[in-house]
Amino acid sequence: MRVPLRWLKDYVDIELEPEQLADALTMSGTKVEGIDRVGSGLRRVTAGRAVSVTPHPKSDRLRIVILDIGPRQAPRRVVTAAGNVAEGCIVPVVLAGGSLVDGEVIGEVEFEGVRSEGMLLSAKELGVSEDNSGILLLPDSVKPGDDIVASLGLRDDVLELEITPNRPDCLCMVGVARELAAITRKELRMPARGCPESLQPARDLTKIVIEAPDLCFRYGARVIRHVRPGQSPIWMQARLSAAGIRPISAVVDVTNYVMLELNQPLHAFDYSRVAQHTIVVRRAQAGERLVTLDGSERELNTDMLLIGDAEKALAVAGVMGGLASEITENTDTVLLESACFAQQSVWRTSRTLRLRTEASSRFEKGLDPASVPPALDRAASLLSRMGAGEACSGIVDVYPSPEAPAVIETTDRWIERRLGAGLGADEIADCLTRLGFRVDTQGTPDGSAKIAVTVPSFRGDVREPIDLVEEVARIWGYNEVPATIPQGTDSGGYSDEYAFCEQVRQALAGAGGSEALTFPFMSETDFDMLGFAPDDPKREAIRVANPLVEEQSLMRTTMYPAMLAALKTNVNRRRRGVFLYEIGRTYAPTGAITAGIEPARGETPAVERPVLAGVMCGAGEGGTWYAPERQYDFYDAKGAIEGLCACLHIDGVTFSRAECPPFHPGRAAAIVWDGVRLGTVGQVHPLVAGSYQVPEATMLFEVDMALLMEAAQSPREYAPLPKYPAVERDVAMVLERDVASADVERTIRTAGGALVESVRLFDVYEGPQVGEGRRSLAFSITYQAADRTLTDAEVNQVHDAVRAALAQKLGAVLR
Amino acid sequence: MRDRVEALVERALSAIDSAESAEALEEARVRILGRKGELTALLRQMKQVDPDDRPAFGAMVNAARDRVQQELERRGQAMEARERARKLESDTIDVTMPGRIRPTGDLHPLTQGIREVTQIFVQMGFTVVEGPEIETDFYNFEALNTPPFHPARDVQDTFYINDFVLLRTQTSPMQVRQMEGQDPPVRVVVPGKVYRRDPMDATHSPVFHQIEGLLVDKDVTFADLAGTLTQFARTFYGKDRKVRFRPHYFPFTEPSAEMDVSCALCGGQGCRVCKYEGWIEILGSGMVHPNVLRAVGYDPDELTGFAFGMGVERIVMLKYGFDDVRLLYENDLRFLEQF
Repeated sequence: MRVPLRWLKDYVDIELEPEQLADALTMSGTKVEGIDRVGSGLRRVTAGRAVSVTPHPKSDRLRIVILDIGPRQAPRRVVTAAGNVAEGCIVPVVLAGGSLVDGEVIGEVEFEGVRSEGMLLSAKELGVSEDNSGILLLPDSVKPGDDIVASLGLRDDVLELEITPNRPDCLCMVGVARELAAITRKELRMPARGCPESLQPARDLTKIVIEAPDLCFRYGARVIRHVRPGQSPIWMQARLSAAGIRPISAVVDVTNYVMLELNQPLHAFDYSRVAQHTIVVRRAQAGERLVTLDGSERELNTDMLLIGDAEKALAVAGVMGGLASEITENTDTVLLESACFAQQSVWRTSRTLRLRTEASSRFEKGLDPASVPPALDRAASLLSRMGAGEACSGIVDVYPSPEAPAVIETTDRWIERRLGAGLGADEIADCLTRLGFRVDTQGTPDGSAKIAVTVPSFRGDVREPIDLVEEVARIWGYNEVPATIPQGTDSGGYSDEYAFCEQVRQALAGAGGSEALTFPFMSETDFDMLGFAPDDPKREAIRVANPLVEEQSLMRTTMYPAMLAALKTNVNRRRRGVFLYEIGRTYAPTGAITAGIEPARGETPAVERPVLAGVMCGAGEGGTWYAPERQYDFYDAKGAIEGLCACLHIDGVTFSRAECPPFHPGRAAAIVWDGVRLGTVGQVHPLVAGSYQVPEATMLFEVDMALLMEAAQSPREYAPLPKYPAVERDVAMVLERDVASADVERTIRTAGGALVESVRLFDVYEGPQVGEGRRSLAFSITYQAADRTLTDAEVNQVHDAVRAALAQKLGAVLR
Repeated sequence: MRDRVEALVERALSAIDSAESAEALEEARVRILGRKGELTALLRQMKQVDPDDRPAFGAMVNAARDRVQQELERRGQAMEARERARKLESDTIDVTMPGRIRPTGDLHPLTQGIREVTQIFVQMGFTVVEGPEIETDFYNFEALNTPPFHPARDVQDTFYINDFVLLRTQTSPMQVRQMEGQDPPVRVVVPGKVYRRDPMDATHSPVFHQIEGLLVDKDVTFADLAGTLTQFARTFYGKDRKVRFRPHYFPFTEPSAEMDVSCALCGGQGCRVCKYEGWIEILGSGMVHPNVLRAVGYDPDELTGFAFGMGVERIVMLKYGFDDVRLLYENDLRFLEQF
């Protein structure tokens, strides 16, 4: 909210500099986000009387105005294109060398041979309003040479406040002034509300019926006769503009002015358009229509509160008036509405209609029924002072069930125990009294004080004792509260899951992967791009009802699209090698989501599985003086998984060929441990690479973190270090190409039995020397016994058995 | 005779000195000390020496031999040293060539930020847990004292799955789940992703990270909140940073406070980073609202507590001095490798 300081000073004396003032407000809870120095651009601006207005000799469009700009000043000659200046008019002028509100400097300029020593100003150029249609004509009370920047309040410091939603009372000048008065121990001056009234009582002229007292707590009206068309005084326009509201006309400006002053929205109906001069506050009928002030026809529903007359709808209550009952230049009599509507009703209506106004944004936060009559009085008083209307006597005020002020009972001890500071009953009472609470303190035999606090009607946010704690603390000073460390001896730590994630991240970073962070969304088209079958269970994704964009409309069931997108970013930016990984979540619906019912309390609405995913592509290693460049391939990705498992001491992980999207059918493997599939690693299918516009040699993997963690928890046991030497023997063979290396290793282990300590593939060859469809594999086998040194004969025997098994079982041709 | 011995020593030393290789030195040794060497020959002439002078002569020859031997040794060592030096010299490599690196990757700056923050709270006895991102309206709003139509809930800001389920807008629902799931005292820190329906720009992201904290026990006070969070700020940002608390509003805490630390860049004088305020807002906090305690079946007259929450992106961006949040989610390795 924007608060012009000159306006604020109407209600409270301010001795602080703007910066100190901002600090004081901020530290008591009304955060000042900035100070806008409006009108600071205006330089060498003064008032002048047009002594003569003559046509320009060479231009029909221009006129020459001779200005009296005050005693002891030579008259100035100004050329203007505006048509609304006549002899005798008082006008604002910027003298050559001065500047406009936007800082634009005006020099001495020649127009068709006539020098202009300044420029006459419009309301816009002065910062009074957006009106740029002609020169702003000043009232006769302004004298030539007057400092109009000061007298019209054109230059001001405007505080930009962040008002929290619990404090609608601070959405107005008086509310902010009240805070300031409390902080600085000054008195709050309420605005003058008295005005002369005509003898005719308003109650004879209008009737109010509230048919929906649950949605309208109070409705008051005044009748104002002989309203003057035209604009409000310049000072009012300048204040409204500084506060961010566009000046429109005298009556509308007054309603806005009072709203900004007292936080009570007002609405002016053309009295003659209100059938039978009767206001009916009721729910809309289904399908009822109304053209609102903005010219659009709105369809209302039965949840919406409207203001009607005896025949038709006039306005959407608390949101916007209707076009038909809008005041116009011909309006003579105005029915001024001041009401208190249920905040939820206005909130809902405003959102259903997608229509947010200054009024609705106030009503939806909850307003004070007590400000209904004062706002009407204040408006009548302003209109009367401006000569813009005559109030009929009295207010028609319907207030079906007035609420008694709330009283909160507590003790000084209770408040002190919440704060952890002993400030005493007097200090507590002082803080609250300054804010407008009534405080009754009563001593008790145990030395503590009972405190009964009467909450003022504008503080609907204060409901229970804890709310008083905040009020006391913020006036006393948050930073006066001592800093203590809470008792307790529990030692902290990370959950097992969290700690495991950290371990995995660390292992992969050590293996050369950099951690990515992606959004957990995906889109329907991803499933097709990944090549998922129409009945693939991964297609059962949770859908976001109101996504920002289609690409983020599903909660992801796989991390692959995110990994491919991250890869693409880096490929597009000409990165040579990419190895990224992420531990993210995938999401699957539970029964409650599928059925669209409310999940039971304590349950989680979705199945969220932490998943490790990774992508590798491009130059894997090398390209250095010691190693040639090598592109990442399947075995790098597999190696990353194997390395991770080694790091986590997960033994016995196996890889078996897997044919599943989004992978190349011959280049993917299921990662299996103890019969459970932990995940998949492989090269993407060329079609997938094409769809995501990434290179074909792109490797991906996904591993379920919960399953991986289970595998990592298998107990580790100490094995005694070998006491006897090991013997190494190599075996090389030629096999059919489709014999898996893992099968060869298994055969070696089976045939070699307990003496095989380790098996290592050290050479692979495919080519003309071994023939089409065949390849050569060479293994190094380490034999060792725990209880003796193996003799050559023993080793030969077992090694021969291994060779025989390879030939027999796998058709290996041994070399 | 003496003259001959001295002349011989003179010759020997000069031969040793001029020997440039191990072979030349050995040759000199044999020529002088060998069985057919000059000194041996000289010794053989003992017989020609006056018997009275023989002991002196013997001593003289022995001294000469010692001297020569010593010199041979010295020269030999010097030559070895020179040889070694020559060898090492020829073994010199270019130490400015790059080493063989096993490339390692990096942790995402947000992961590092979460780690740094949570470690401090772990030392203060908090346990780090995580919670669901897809939440119910009940946990995200209602149990947090934010009933429907509450001004703090704006439908514009929330991603909904259906009428009951949404993407959590804050990590605070874990306050409720944690209290429901355990008996007091509660001391937890909850890092995680949260979602707001803001289109991505330099300062907004529809997905971002928060760290929530909750401490509930008997007799926990606002002063405890101030003390704990001040200690965190001093540990994380440095002992010389000033800390202040400002009243604020959150539906689920009362009293509520925002914590600022003095701007590190300008020392509180005001600069672009702190928007000329001298202070930087770091976290929101407050005493757990009695309605929240009631919602989980805790008795607000028996138990009190405080909660806090902070945005990880903001912390990381301030720490490293960049002002476009999008960098954190682009996954450009040139960016990730800087942390």
